[in-house]
Amino acid sequence: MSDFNYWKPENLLDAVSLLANMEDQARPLAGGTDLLVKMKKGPINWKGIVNLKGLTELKGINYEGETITIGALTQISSLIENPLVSIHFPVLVDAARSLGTPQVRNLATIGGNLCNASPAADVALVLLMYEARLLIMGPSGSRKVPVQEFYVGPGQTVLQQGEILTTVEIDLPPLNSKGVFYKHGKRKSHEIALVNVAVLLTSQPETKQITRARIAVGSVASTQLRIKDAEDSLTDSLATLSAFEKAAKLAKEAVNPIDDVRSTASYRKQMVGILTRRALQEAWGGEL
Amino acid sequence: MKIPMSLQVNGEMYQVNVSIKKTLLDVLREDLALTGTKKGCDSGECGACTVLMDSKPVNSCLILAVDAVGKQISTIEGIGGIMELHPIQEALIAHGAIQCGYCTPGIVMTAKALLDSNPHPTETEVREGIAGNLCRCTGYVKVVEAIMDVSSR
Amino acid sequence: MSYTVVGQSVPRVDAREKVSGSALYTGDMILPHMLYGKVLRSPHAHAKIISIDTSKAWALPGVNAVLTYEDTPKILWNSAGFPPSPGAILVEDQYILTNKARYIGDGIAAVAAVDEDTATRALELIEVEYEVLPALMNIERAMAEGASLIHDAEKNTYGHTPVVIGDVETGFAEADYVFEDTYYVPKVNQVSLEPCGVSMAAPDKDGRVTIWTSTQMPHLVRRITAHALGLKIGRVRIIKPPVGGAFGSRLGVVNEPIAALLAMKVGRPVMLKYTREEAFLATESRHPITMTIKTGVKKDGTFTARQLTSYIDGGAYATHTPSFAGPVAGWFLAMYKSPNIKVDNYSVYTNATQCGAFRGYGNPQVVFAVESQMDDIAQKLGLDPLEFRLKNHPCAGEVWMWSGWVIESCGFEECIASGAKAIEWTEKRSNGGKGSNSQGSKKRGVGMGYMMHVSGARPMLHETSAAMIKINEDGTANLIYSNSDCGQGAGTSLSQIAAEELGIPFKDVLITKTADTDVAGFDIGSHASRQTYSGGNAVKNAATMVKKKLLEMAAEMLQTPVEELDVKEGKVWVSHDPSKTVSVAEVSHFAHFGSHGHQIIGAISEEPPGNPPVYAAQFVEVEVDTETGIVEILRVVAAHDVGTAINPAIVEGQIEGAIQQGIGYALTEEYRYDQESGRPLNPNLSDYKILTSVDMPQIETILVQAASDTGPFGAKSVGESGLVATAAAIANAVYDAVGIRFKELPMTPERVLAALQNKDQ
Repeated sequence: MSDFNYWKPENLLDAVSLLANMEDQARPLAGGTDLLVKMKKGPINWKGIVNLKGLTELKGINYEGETITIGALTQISSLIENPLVSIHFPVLVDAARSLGTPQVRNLATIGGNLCNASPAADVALVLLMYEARLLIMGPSGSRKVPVQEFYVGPGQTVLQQGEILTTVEIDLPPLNSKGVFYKHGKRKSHEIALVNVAVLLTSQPETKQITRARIAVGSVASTQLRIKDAEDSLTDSLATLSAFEKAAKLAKEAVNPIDDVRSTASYRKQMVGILTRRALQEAWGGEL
Repeated sequence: MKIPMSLQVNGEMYQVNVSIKKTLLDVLREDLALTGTKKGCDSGECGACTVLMDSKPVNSCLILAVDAVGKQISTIEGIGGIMELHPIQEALIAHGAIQCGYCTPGIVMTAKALLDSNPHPTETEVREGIAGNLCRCTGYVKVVEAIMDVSSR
Repeated sequence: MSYTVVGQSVPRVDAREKVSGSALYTGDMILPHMLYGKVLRSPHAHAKIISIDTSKAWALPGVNAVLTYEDTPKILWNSAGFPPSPGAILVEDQYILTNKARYIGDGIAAVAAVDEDTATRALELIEVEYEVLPALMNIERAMAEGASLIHDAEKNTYGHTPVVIGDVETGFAEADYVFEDTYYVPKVNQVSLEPCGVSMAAPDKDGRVTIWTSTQMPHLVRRITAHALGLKIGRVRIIKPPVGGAFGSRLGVVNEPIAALLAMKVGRPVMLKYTREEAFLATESRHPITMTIKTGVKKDGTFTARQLTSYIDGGAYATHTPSFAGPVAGWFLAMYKSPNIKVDNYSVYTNATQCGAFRGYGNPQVVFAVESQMDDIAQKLGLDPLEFRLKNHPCAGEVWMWSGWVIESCGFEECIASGAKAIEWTEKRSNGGKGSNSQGSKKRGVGMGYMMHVSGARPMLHETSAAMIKINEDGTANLIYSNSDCGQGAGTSLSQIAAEELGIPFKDVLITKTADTDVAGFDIGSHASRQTYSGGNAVKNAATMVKKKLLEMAAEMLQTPVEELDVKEGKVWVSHDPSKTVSVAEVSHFAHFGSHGHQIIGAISEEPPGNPPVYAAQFVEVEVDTETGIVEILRVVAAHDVGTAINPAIVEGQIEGAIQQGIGYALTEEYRYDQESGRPLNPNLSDYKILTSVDMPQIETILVQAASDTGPFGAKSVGESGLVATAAAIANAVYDAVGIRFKELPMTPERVLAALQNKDQ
């Protein structure tokens, strides 16, 4: 590992100003499960690390009315263990449980995972489905960015030098919403998704009508995607198999994945179709 | 740059003076001569370096030693006594679940944390609990049997 | 037969030290003034080295040595751990550090420095000028007209192993049906948890060098290392501590010569420890092979001719490959009876990492191909697949063509019967997807594969083992053996054999846990599933020798003829008078300090008498998701004839672990290269996927104990068998589920889905 300068600030403003220093191009250290791997592999072009773990205010899960706020330094395992998250955002727990391994989940943080910006990230996909908002603190103050707008490309977010993701905000989904998350891979632990899919259906049970749909797919583009066409096709429509098949087809047509060491473009594209349809069926739950 | 740090490992305080970039795994093995924790990949993928940090299993190869300051670290050397073994260790022996032994310390640590927090897991929960510990010798069959045996008591 | 300790699942002799973390593996060790080594590796798959400038590396503070080809002895060697033997074809084409880069990872220079960090920085300061040549990443390119030569072999083909028995053309003419199919199996890596490649070399003032190394073959590594260094064999001492898994990756020299060269240059101990990435990049793994199998068969399922033509991708250096081609032929021709057989195996150089030994040694490759075709033949002929195997396998009393010797025992019929029952073969067969075991898009099926394997490598290779037993004054016994246990439990089984034969308690047998070439007699080591059979024979015979001396001494003490005496539970008993007894401790004390003044010692160095083959039938139930192509293994039933199971838990553990590797071979594991640049695409544990605990199916192991005549207490072997037939069983189960025949591994979801879609069209 190359040498680096090291700081462990005790408050957020100090952290911001350390990170804003363009000379060191310092990186923030949260759980270390991505950063340390990168630093060992090399080569790296940053010369400093700002350890955020002294910022205890960035940890914790709280509720304010209909909104949950999750501190960026909250460990993935804490998300899983939190009873309120399990009750109100069960799909987030499913995604968190699929991340890495138990040991990695005890170290990795939600903020670090989001900022690592892998198009295959599982937690980020579900946050996209839940339409979460990200609170960012930087040298020019704070701002809020919807997850939808946070990602620019693989490994790239809208964060500027000196900005830190501090909090994730998610509003409770509407009543009668059910979500499903699938992570498709070749083994069931320590896997990076070949394709992942998260859907959230809001419905009127009496009329079998879907009032709202959110469909997010990952690993098939340079960032995770919401498939608006597919979502719109289900808005105010009856829940039928053919409606779900149509939405799945739209999702499949909307993506242009690539070949890489993990899978092929053609396979990924097909899996978007199959998994979207299955996820919609499972989210609906009842008879079609 | 080297910095002095105090680490609490297996209930004892150690003073070390090591490079800031040294991982907890390397400090344990090289500076504290606690070689029971193994380096199988050095990138958080195999679990052979599993230690407990404040009772939770973690990959010590992904932790800067400086980040272990103020935490309670447990390694395999702290499990059992000089001649006595912990029930998990006894069960692994009795079930023939140890072959080359390289994954074993990591599995003991993970299994201990699992059973401490969930004393009677199902087989699925055991498998999920050790899913971050790769083994190439046993196919996990007797490892799972051993942990289930301890959990049934 | 009922024994005292043989057949018991006693705890392993090395379990306590491993479970407590106190076992010291090579990489845990430290010596005073020790330096750390690192190797500079070629970034090009094929390149001439024009110049190397090491001056800046030498100038870095903390660097004690920077070595290149210039500093290595100009002695070519071969890394494969074989004794000079009829079956060992050693093409010597390796230098300690190369003068031409032949794969990405080839060792160009080596550094010794005060710590790994300094050594790594020193590597970055070495300046190498390369002339890049075309990378020949597969056999077609390597053999093409005008392809660059990787060594000096024409068309990069350096071995042809032919076998001719009878005349296959006549046989094909006589057949009712002729089948011809081509199969391909990829490169897979052993992925032992202790990364392959760790040696600590320490020179002394007498011109010797001691090397602690994670190895399977201490005495053979001593030979090769000494040869590579230009030293007499006795000047090198190899010590093997506990090893974190091997599976063939350590079946010969790995990095001992580089460590020793560095150590001798600096006059200090040097630790050379490969990273996980280097273990992928620069150590030997399984041979990819393209196999064409042509089979002539009569309507009733009798073979008239069997032919194998194979192209073996051996990678950048010869190592095992020319010798390996022999077993490849042997597995093929010996597993089924046929009057006419022809084999042509070609060994080819490519610019991939050299291939060596991986559990099964060609058998998993061959059996995948043969057993896949067998099911196709059975289906075409309307034969029951199980009956078809039963009809054609060689049985006890018949000559096994692998060895030329008579088969001592065969439990295959019971393997088939018990395995088929356990998997519910009749109830669950779908017959190409026409069965009722389907739920919507998920189709189930069952399949099986058969295999035979060796107990040791006779007569192709020498099988020398040595054991020395000395009885201490207190009646305990030191068993000195070149213990090459890399996790498979040989140290324990051999202790059981010694205890059983000696008649003393198991806990009183103290086997050397390490192997030390200065101490233990010449032993081939751990390969070819040999330690229980060959090592066990030497141990048992040494014990017999010691027991005889014990009884002679006891006869004197008890004033009773030796024919009336026996040893049991640590005591010498008189057959007709239980009141007359003396303990082994008392006998030993008397030997030491009575009128005789000697210790009772027995030493044996010999080869075992034969090579009794083992058999297995593995049955697998799968569920294929026809929309995603994912193949899920629901159950594996592994019925193995192992001869007498010295320690059943150890035997089961070997099979269970091997099945994890076999499923990986079939479905998830493949080591891949960029075909243009030769860059390895997945030299890490994220993208090279071995199964985790949540990926494993239910496994049932059935031990069929068809005792051999010549094995210790009837033992045969199990070390490699567990994964030989697994991939074939899975491929056959997939065929049963969806009617598609896969002739290439792994059966990834992408390939399965594509095949399903092609079938529909």
